[in-house]
Amino acid sequence: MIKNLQIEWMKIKNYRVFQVFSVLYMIGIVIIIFIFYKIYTQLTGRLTGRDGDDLFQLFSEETIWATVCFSTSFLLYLPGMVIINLFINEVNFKTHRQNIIDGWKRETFIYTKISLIACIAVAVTIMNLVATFIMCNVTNTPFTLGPGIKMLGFSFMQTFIYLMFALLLATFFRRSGVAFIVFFIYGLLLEFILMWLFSNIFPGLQHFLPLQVADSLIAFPGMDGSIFGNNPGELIMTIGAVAFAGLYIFLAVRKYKYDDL
Amino acid sequence: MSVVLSLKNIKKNYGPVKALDDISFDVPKGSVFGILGPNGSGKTTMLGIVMDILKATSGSFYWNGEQGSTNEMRKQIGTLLETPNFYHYLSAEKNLKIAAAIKGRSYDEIPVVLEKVNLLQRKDSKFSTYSLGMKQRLAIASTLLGSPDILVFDEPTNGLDPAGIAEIRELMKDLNRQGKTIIMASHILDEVEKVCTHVAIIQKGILKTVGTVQEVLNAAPTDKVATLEIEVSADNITALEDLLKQLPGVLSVTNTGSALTIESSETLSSSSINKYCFEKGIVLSQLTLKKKSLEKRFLEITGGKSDR
Repeated sequence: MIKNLQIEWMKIKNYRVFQVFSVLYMIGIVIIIFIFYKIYTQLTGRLTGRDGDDLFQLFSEETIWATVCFSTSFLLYLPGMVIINLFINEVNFKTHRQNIIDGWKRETFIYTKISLIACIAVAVTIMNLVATFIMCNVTNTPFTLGPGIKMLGFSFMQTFIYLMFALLLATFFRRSGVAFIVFFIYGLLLEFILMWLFSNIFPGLQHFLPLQVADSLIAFPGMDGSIFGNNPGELIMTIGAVAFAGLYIFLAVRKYKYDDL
Repeated sequence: MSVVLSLKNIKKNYGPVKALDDISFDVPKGSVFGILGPNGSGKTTMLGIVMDILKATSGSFYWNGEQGSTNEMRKQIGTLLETPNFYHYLSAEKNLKIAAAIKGRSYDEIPVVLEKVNLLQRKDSKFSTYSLGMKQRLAIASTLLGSPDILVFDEPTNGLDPAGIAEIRELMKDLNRQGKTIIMASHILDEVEKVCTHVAIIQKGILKTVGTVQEVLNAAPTDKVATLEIEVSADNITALEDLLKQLPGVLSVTNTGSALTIESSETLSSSSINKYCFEKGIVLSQLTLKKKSLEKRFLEITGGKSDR
């Protein structure tokens, strides 16, 4: 698999879209955390609970990991677009066929793409680690890895699920325009509508939607879920997220293994 | 002679459309095997199935006696299928590095194969800047990586200028002389006739005929007896025409002005016609047994219509 990933790296390292989006993502991390920090500093002392403490402790030792991971999760559409773009390039250039003709198994091709997604998820997780370290220094918060390990794990899982969902859309639609539109409309609009519907019709199930299952892992600091209700707990949500990730892998591999290319 | 590729009752349906209908034939080792058919006849579909990018509806195929198309087998085959498929934003050399890495070949071969197709000078240019002919030549270079014993070419001279076409044909002949088996799909009859030792003709997904090029040329259409085409001429062409019409075995005589074209059964020969005319007092000034072209044979078989 390492050798296959090296081949994948040869494909993408000189690809301008990949380079630009990687830089954009890193700039985006700085901007979005800065926005969160700015809003937080302006609200400090204004939003207080019954005990007189600040209602939201976004940059405390316990919450800073969740704050960084939660805020940067809004940027996951950027690597999602890259994944769609990379896969549909292969379809448009017919290189997905040529790789098979040259000697890759069909499964090798799709598993290499999934491995690339895992690598990007690791990179995103590392960037969240670095961003948290920097923010701890900026806010004079003690940097303790203990509470962060779990949140970094959730960050990896969330990124992996977002990117697998993007890959699945690219695999099924094979047109970048359609895949982008579905990715954005579903993620930014349709899922909220479904959450609202599910929270009223099947309470609890609103957390087990294709992207929300990942979002529920990293709730807004101080909350246990979303505006549509608390999630059923970290263990159940983790099991749900792993199940969805497994489902996405199964569907992508099955589609690629048996369909005409 | 051992068989490199064997197709057994391959069928491929796209909904109600039968793209391939019960195709069976063998490709002998060391041959240049042409798959000839009108546009849309199923040639690329057939090659796509044996290279595992399309799934057959039913039937089976064997590469060197092994069922299906394993990835290890495909690494031993150089294939250009339909169009040159490369990453547009990468240079020729980087594209070939990807192909070589997948095939498990050394990067040292890249300059060698680029030189063979006259692209070494442009190895650092992006694929997107290449002309159609250069893209085609790069695809051929990619097939040569690792010097495979089997090469599969789908319309290999697409987009090439006349000099490029001649070069690629010469390259294919040269590869065949080295003992390599070449499977080539084409709708260019001249190309198949000049390069191939064997040919299969398909139309609307149905195998019409298969054999050596000579066997296919010599075979009679199924609804007709085998015929010869002979061109003759004499000083008195009208008398010659009347005489030949009385000769048993002559099926038709066509006056082209300066000569007569006779279509006759294979019971006649040029010498028997010459003897007959001489005995009847006419001395022939021209007698030519016309070689049947693959084009004529192809049109006889397919009815001269495109499949699209």
